[in-house]
Amino acid sequence: MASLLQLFANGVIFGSIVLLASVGLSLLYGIGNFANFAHGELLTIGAYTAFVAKVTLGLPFVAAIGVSIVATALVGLVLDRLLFVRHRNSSPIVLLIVTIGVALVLRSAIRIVWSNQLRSLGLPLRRGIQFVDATIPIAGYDLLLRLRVTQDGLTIVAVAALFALGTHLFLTRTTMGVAMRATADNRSLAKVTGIDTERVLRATWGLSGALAGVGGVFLGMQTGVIMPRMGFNILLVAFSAVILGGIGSPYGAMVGAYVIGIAQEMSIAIPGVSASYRAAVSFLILVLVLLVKPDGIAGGRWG
Amino acid sequence: MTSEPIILAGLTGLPAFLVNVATFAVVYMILALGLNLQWGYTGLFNISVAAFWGIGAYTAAIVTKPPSAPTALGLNLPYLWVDVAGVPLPLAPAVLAGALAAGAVGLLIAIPTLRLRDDYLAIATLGLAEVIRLVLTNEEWLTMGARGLSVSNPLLALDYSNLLLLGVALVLLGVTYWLLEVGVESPWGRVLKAVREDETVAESVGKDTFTYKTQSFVLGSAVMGAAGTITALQLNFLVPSQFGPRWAFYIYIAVIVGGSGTNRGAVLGGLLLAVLLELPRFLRDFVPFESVVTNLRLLVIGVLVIVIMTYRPWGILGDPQAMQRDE
Repeated sequence: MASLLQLFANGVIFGSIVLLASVGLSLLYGIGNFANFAHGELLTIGAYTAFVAKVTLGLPFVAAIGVSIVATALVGLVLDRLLFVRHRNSSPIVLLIVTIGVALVLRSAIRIVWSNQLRSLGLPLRRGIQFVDATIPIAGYDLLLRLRVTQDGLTIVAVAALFALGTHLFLTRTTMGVAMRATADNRSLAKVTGIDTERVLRATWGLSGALAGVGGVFLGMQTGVIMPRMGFNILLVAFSAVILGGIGSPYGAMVGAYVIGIAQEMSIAIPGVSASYRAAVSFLILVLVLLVKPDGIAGGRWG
Repeated sequence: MTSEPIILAGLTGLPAFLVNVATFAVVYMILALGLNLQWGYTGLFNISVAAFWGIGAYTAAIVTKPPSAPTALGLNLPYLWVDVAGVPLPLAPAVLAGALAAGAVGLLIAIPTLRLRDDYLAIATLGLAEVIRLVLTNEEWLTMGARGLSVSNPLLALDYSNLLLLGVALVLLGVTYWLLEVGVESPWGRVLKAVREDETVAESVGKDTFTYKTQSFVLGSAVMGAAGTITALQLNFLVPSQFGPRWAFYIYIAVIVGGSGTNRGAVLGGLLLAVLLELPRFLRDFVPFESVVTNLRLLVIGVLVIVIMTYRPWGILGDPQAMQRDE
């Protein structure tokens, strides 16, 4: 029996990665009003650009994260400029299909450039820091309390929290952030009041890409592997977090990310369920939320 | 479906290859018809095409799986598909079993999700596809997992030719096409189109749109399951990775390029998809970088989707109204 405390901590770390993946997805959902199925590929690009910077060019890891952020933000901006600007009046379903096309293009381009081979960021393996190691006898049972977290895990949680705080400050304290929230509420009304909604959508693509970039690097760092499907594999988890939080609410997505991340890791402790079904947990939560509270935790509002 | 050897009896060489490609084409057409009912006519965005296809294929394989002797379901029964005057007909029980299994799963997913917006359905069905793939991979007692499941193909026992399987597939295509044409031309089909174009209006004239959407979703899923039974017979060996999520996108491309909202368009799209997917196999002999060809193919498919959705979202033979839904 695994230590529940350990599984919970693993869930918080995984939830932090999901947070970075889902906040950008949620922003684009709220402001652009469509589900971006290419968001997973933005994460993958984030991981591969970090790989190029760290392993190929030999830059320090912090610089590699910076490279990823800039590169994925640029990919977001280029996609918007080349393609999505033509779809400002398209229905959400047309947009959704276009993003599927974009996902296919990006993923096959990644495969052509870097092949299907598994790669790693080549970070040094470090022993986790032991926080707790005890067994407490409760009602005749020995409750195992063990918690060991790697430095990478701590970094992921701390940096994700910083980015969450940064997004919050950006949305509440800057003109662009306020304009984004107004556009998400009502695009036509925002336009009438003089907000340049074109600029807002461009900025949203950039921000969404940048957050996905960091998320992708952390995903590669946590799992130790970089591969062309890595982003797509986590897309469903990110969508579940977005829906759980209430579509279009970045704050809801943050909460949803931790709920899904913790639930997924702790599901390992459920007896009789194979750990290989872990990936199905987010789907299960998704369907349950849709059944009980289709509007999600935040009910589609901005926190 | 990338590198399985062509093990069909009867023909060999190029004719066998062409018959094999033609059979794939017919399967794609049937899948496209099923998706077109859901998406083209009713506007339901279902991403789990591969899941329903796989359920059909695995059902066909399981109901004919012999523990040792040629029996069905491990019971002391003869093949579900009996030999009538030297021809292994009817295949109907297995096709029906595959369709029923896929339809039943379709109903399970329809109930919680069809009341919700399109994008919810898209995301939920993506999840379903993932769960089905996990089940196929992990429930080894039923599916042999990643090692793969051999199909005990009665056609093989009867020394059939691969042309016969193509014939069976064509009959299934014909029946499906006919049933769907009758369906969509009936008052029932008109309600589906009304749901696609404006659900609120359909609701306001007293139609229970949820029931119609559920019927469309379940029927479409059943058609995909039926297509799976042909695939089981064609490949004779099933592994879960054959039914990956990329297939949903491929079949969408067939429907969208051919033309959403027309059955003719779905059939044309299935044919184009087969050309797009199977022809590059010829190139393998000439191009040394096989993985580049495979990936370029995917890239081209992606670009095709983007271009069509940007400039002609209703496809070649499509109904422009099928894509003009406003939220």
